[in-house]
Amino acid sequence: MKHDPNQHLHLHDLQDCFHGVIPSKIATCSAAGEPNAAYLSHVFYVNEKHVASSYQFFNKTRKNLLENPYASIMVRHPETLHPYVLRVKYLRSENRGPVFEKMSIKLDVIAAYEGMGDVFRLLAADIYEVLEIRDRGSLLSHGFSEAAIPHSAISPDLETARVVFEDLNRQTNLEDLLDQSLFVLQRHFGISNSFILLNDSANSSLITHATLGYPKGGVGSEVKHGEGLIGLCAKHKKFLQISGMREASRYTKAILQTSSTQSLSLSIPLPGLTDPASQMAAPIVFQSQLLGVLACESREKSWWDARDQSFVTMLANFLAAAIVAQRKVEESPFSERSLSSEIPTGSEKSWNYRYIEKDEVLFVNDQYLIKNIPAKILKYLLSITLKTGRREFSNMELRSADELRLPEVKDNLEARLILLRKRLQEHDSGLTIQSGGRGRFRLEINGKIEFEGVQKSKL
Amino acid sequence: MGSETIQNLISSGVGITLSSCDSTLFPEVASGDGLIFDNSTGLLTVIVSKSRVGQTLENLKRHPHLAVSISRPIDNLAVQFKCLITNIRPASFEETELTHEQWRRYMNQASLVGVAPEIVAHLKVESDIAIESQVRQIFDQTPGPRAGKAISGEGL
Repeated sequence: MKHDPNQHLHLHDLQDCFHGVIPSKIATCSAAGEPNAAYLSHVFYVNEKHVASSYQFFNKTRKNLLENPYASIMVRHPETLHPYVLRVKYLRSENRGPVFEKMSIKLDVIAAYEGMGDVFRLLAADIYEVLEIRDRGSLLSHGFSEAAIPHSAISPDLETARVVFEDLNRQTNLEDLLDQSLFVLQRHFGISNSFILLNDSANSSLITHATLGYPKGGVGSEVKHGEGLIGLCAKHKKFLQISGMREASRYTKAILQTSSTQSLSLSIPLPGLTDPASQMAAPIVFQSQLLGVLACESREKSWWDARDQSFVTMLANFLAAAIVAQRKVEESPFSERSLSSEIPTGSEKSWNYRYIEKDEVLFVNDQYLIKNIPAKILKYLLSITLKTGRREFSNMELRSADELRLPEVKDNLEARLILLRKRLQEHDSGLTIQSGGRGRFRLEINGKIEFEGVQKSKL
Repeated sequence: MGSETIQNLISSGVGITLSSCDSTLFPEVASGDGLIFDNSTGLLTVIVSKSRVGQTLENLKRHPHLAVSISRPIDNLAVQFKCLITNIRPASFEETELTHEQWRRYMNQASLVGVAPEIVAHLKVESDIAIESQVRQIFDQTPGPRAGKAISGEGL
């Protein structure tokens, strides 16, 4: 951010200061003339004339503001530490509405991360009118320019965007499209940790279908709507980012250490990195229908700027249209070709598949494999293959199978098959699902498969 | 504060925030560069850069109340001093030297919480003014339910 000190400053010039990476300072004064200095964990940009801060505890700052509404707030640029002072007037506290929601989401995510959901709660958003902005001048020594600091934004240009979307447009199936989208983020924009979750509306949850940058993969992991950053992104169908996570985490831990609630263990771990500096989640929405969430995180970047957000949102929007288009292709009629039904051959290794009817869960060699509809699909495929030797199937067949009882519309079948395919790949399962294109696939068996269906778990 | 003393906190490297107000009680926020606290007398001297605290110095001439908050970046451990100004004068050579050492430790803290090394290496302090004050009260200011509690005895 470059600023000519002689020019009048606007709040949007200071946007980068409002990511919560560097704690802000606030000065207030009581009606009796006693000043008070305090830290604010995060000052939020509301609009060109207003900012907000979080009200979590009743303290001296708040008491003073109720007596004397004027305050000075110092914010700093997260990379250069350049200080600016906002001379403000406290107007009101809001405990609902868009500003409160935006602030609350960040606090909820951080609190859940630290296992402090019941302690660390936003009581209200304090709204201030900004009366004046003062530039306190650079802290950098002479001869070292702020412009020399490398900017960490991903800064995609139009040409890169064109190449990226052309590349994605060439993908012929959903699985490749999802995997390639994450690869693009890594290759062109340096986002090394990302994953895509698709919506499972029947269970009000999202299931991870593609991941990049995580040693343990994580395909099949589930996030409930409303849980954590990703769940909240899905619930509100809004782009969300959490910046300055380490600072917020330190602030939260300081509270935890001084609270009498240290025994709390309510942590709801988010999928992904254990120590992210920032996260963002973009909803994949087509005509108001939630299809999934594209999630990214970084250990290195403490914040994402407007260009980062714009590109990730563009990618999520592209994915929405592409997912819908893939479904249409998958549902279109296809020309029959000869389907072989060789007898299973391969190694002599054996696998025991057990399906628990009551819980709709499938185990392989006593290890959990998958649950719900993907589990029912595999049970269906195994039953037919083991009875008849047939190994070629179509999506249309699955949709019409009475025992699967798939929802009639928007059943997300292709996504469930991707999930099933990846889980079989990740496990030593003896099975693979090979895509045959245009809604057809083949179950490959390598070894001896035994299958049993039981009403409930023996445990 | 627990067993951490204020002297230990200061010497570990802290951010320093000043709050003053003008004759209309409009508050002013500013940063300090260094700090000297005498437990036995309750004298607190804050070293500042004149070019960055002009409004604060103006305020203190008319309204001698000053709040000084110190906070350690790595764990947000913080205390606040409520003071009455006794003198404003040029900083001595020794005070400037001490301030540079405190600043170096503060920058070490800043680098631990993610401030880029190239920034830390080029941040500067001028430290040309000393604000002397008498401390009237000290409060724990570490975020959380105990923030605002008065500190006395062992905490000093």
